[in-house]
Amino acid sequence: MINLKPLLPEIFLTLTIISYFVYGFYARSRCSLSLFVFVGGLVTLLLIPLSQGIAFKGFFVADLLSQALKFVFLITLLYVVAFSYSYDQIKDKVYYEYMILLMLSTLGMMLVVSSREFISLFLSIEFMSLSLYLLAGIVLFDFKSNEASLKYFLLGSLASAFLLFGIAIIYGLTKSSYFPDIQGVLQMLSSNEYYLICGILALTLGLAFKAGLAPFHQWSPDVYVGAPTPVTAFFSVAPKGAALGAFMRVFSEAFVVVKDLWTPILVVIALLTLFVANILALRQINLKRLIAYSSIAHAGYVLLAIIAASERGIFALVFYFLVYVFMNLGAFAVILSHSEGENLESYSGLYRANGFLALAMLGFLFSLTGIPPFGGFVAKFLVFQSLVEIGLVWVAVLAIMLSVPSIYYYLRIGVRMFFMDRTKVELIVPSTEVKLITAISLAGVFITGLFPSIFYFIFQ
Amino acid sequence: MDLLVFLYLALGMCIPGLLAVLSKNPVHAVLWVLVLIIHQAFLLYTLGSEFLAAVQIIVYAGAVLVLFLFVVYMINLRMEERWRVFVKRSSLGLLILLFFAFFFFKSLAFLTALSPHFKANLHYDLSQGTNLWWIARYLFTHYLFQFELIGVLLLVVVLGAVFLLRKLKEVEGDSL
Repeated sequence: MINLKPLLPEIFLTLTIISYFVYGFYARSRCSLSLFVFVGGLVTLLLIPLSQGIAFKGFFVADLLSQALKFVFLITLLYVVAFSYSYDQIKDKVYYEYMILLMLSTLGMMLVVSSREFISLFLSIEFMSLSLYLLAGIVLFDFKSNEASLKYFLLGSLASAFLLFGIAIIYGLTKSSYFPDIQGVLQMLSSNEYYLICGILALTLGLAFKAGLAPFHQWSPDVYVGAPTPVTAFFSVAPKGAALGAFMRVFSEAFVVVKDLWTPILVVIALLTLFVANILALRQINLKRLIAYSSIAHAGYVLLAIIAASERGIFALVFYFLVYVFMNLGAFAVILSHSEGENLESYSGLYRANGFLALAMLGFLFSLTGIPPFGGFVAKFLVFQSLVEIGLVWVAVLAIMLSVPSIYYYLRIGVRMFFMDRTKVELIVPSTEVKLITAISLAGVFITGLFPSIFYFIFQ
Repeated sequence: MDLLVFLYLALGMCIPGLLAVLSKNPVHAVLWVLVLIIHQAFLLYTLGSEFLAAVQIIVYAGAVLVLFLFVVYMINLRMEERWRVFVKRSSLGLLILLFFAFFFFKSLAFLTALSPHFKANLHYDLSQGTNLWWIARYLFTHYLFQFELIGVLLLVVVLGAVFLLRKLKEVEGDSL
């Protein structure tokens, strides 16, 4: 008998999806569909702490890394369901398919972070990506949305091919696709590392594309702007978490014995990502584009924790995403709260139009910059701590220096909100769910910043 | 004799592969890929995996390539589209190719040394059962999780196809 307990959340979510298939034939109103998905996601979320251990000969594992990231994905799903409810660009006609694609991609991501084997890792990455390609083009007659979808699909397929190529090389070298076995074979390998470098490079390229790390980041600003805003919110957190979680698992379990080989590659990618993203974000006036670059930069910080590949590194990655989900999706709640929320101009004098929204946005921006007492500070602190612990102090120092420009582009919005006058004075009254989401995110950002140890309570 | 057969098959895969990429007519390109796939199936057959050879013919030559041909006919492509950008970056592609080729030639000796070790450590013994039997056995026991995963993956594929078709129908409805 197979021990199915570690798969409990996945099995429940699959059952939810299948029952939603049938349910959607009878109930077609937005409210009932959203409610069904919300409740299904919430129950799955609550099942995560019950599912610890390994299943299927070790191919599937539910440990701190995967459980915490699944937690992040499901929170993102709940957020996005709430965002989409009153977002009118996603039409009623496609709402049923939209919700099911959201759930399917979440299921794919949950499988990505739990895979401890290359075949299932590749299959689940494809599973996740296929749903995401469709989500990017969910708005039927929007040229930009369709362009984003096609661009994402073509480039993503190329990245998948590279990923598969890397996996094939590693399999050719070690005759195994199971991470602990690969680690064992690599330990015995003494000479000729050329082939291994080739495999690691191809693998890194594929995963870096999926995580949107420089120099493979060009797709993400276009896709983020083209996709409808709730989908952009989903893209900016969940798939990044899945790809970086897979990164962490591959490099800390399979390749940990050849750490000297891949550390320089990842250091170069991380520093380049921080440099490119922080410089290019300076001149953006579209908020979705700005957040795209900011999310590239955040992926760069998380990659620093992956370089550490230690227990503390895993902890830093997981904590980073837990904070990131609140601060980034909180900022998206503010973007969605008023029409033209994408436009930087519309933030001039927001404080007059709606004080609560402006103050909340300021909190999220402070947190994204990494200013105490918000959660973003603790998250960055943990990342740099894990890096210093393995002796790469110069990388940490360089990364901190490269993050200085981010203060400018985040707080530029803050300055606009409080110190600039509004051309047209009218009150902004956001819908109830947006208000609620903003308040919850603000609470999340504060709590993770003031009491980081609460994290231990959740996952123990 | 074995070497001669292998050399013929290797050339029969490399040359049509190149021609498929280089030929300007899409129909010709698809037909070159067909030649490539048939040689590939023969190579698999000489390696003793008759099941994979049959799958290669039935699935790739029989289904996938026919679909390709359908698409080529339906969108009425006579000549390939050309953009300047693609031509400009060909030097970069050559650089990447040389880079990978360098690594592969560096590790060629290493791989040939490794191959007896591989043969000695095979999980399966072909004298004990047919190819198909071993594949089925592994698929339904050892790799059960991956097999189930493909099942769920197909759900996304079906859903995506239906969704895209619906998009197409809505567009047609608008134009009429």
